[in-house]
Amino acid sequence: MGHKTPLIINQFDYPARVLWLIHIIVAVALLCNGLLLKQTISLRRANALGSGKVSEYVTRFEPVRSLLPSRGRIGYMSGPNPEILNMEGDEYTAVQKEYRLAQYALSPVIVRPATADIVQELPLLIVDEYGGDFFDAQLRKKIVPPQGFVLVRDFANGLLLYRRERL
Amino acid sequence: MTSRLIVWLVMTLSVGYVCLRLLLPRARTSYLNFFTEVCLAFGLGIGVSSCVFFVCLLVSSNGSSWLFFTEGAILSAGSLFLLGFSKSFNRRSSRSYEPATNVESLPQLRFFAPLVYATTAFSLAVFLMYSFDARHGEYDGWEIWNMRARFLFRGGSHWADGFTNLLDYSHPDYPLLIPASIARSWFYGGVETQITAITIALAFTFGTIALLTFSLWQLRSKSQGLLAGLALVGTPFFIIHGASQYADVPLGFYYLATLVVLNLHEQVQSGPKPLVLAGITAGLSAWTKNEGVLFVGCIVLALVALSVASKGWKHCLDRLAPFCLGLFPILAVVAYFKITLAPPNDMVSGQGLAATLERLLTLSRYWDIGKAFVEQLFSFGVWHPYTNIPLLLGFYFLLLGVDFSQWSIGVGVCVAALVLMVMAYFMTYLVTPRPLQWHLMTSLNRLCLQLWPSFLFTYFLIVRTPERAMASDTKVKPQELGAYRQRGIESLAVADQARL
Repeated sequence: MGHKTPLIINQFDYPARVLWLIHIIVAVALLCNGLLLKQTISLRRANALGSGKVSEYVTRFEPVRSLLPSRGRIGYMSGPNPEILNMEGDEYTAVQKEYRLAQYALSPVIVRPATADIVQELPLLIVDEYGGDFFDAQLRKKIVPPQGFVLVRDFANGLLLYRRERL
Repeated sequence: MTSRLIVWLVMTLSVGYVCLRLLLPRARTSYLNFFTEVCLAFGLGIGVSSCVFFVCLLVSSNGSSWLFFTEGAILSAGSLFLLGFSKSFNRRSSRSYEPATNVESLPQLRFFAPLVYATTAFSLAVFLMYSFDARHGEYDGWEIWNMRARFLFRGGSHWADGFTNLLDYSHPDYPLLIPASIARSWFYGGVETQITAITIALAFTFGTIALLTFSLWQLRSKSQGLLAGLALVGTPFFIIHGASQYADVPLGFYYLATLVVLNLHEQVQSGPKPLVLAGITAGLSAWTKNEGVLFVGCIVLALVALSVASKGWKHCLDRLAPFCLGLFPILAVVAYFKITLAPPNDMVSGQGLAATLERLLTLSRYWDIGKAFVEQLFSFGVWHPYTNIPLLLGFYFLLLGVDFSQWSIGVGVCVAALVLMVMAYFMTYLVTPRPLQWHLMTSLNRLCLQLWPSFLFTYFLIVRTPERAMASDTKVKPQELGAYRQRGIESLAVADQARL
């Protein structure tokens, strides 16, 4: 009655191997996602997940945006001598992340890094005292107001809006 | 705001569903078909309505009123056509198709589906946590796509101000499917909210997983579809990158949708309408990212080559004409954008005869790129060393082998298109004017991710299903039937013996 039970070694035949491999793939996928979930939760607890800084940064610019024209170009500087950084050994140009965030926050006006060659062509200028290397609050005192510009408003959050003086 | 966003979601799905219903015949099995169709409808809805939105902006700076009117008109016309003429339309042009689940599912894999859903639930939790903490997305998410959406929405009559070389770091030449979709949702909602950008990212990420799973379930078998879905869900980079609101996952969705529709067409074998749909999805990939233009070239080349090789030029033209009918309207939108609004692409403008020739003749570049390709193949997914999915898929391929009985032109097109895409990406790196190592480091993993869903789809089309592999085990002896019975595949073994 019934069939003869195969030996254990016979049970690891072709169908068994296929089933085992499928089980392994399922287990690996589950493990991958379990590890990812664990890692995400611990990163989140350490407040190191994603670029949460973007939301904070963008929110700071909300009051500035309400004072800006609906289009045009304005300047941005995050210190007394802002400059466009060049990547090592090549002409590819990178600019500071804070400048890009400012552009994101203030769109649709075009934000330009207020480098020495173009600063006098810009009607308005945003100075970000906390951008770039100016995270240290003590350094705020050292910032030199840009020449030829008058302060329109200090937003009391590290941002100052300047207007070009009429000659 | 919430009700207006629900209207946006319903309108998007409706536009997509009407387009889909007009072009793809209904499958007989209900729920499988339903999930595949919802995924395709969402992708189509997002893509087509973003094109409509862009055209509305071109026609009138006050795009919103034109948008509501145009989308309403498209929806009404499509619905009326479907309601009024559906019977004769369906009878005349196409018949419903059946899924290829002509093989029994293995009872041992009953646990399979719940585990896939559990794994997907883990991924969903990860996705939501990332999205909650980085609402604006990661670098490219806010710097390119969300910023462009802000220009379109906030700019009023000056919405095109953002397409300037002054913002060259944010690639103003990139096409507008994602930004236009986000801005369109804000027009519907009447307010800027990152919820819609997150919703779009979520839909593309999990829509890709669902489309891959359910299309293979239909075309091959349940376990094959679930395995493919698991391989994609088990790619951590796919989930994290989807949440970062980059355009690589949406682009991968359109690549996959094109290949899925082409293979469904092979199964239907009636009427050219699915090919029109495939043309639209291929066109939408070009409207998502510049790499999509390469994909259009590769898929057309693959279609022509395989059609001519298999059945001659007449058959090729019969397939190519409807494909182009779907492709050209979308390409016209892309071309208009590129010619009139977008500044020159940095990769193209950085070329020159002497410089390009020098790059092409530098042999070390070939070696560097080849090495990076091989390295990325096993690492782009950010897998743990002990949980490497590509390695496991290699073993799976060796164990199960190729199913030549399921080979078709559709499968051939998938393989050819993927090979051509890899070659095109290789050539792009070869002639890049940017520093090669930097370019490879910052983009190759994303290019691999774009192709990953399509690769998995093609791979699981080619590899034998577990059901067939076990059924065709020719070493089955009558005395071993008991072992097969224990594994619940007796009928397959008996059927296979009878066939032999």
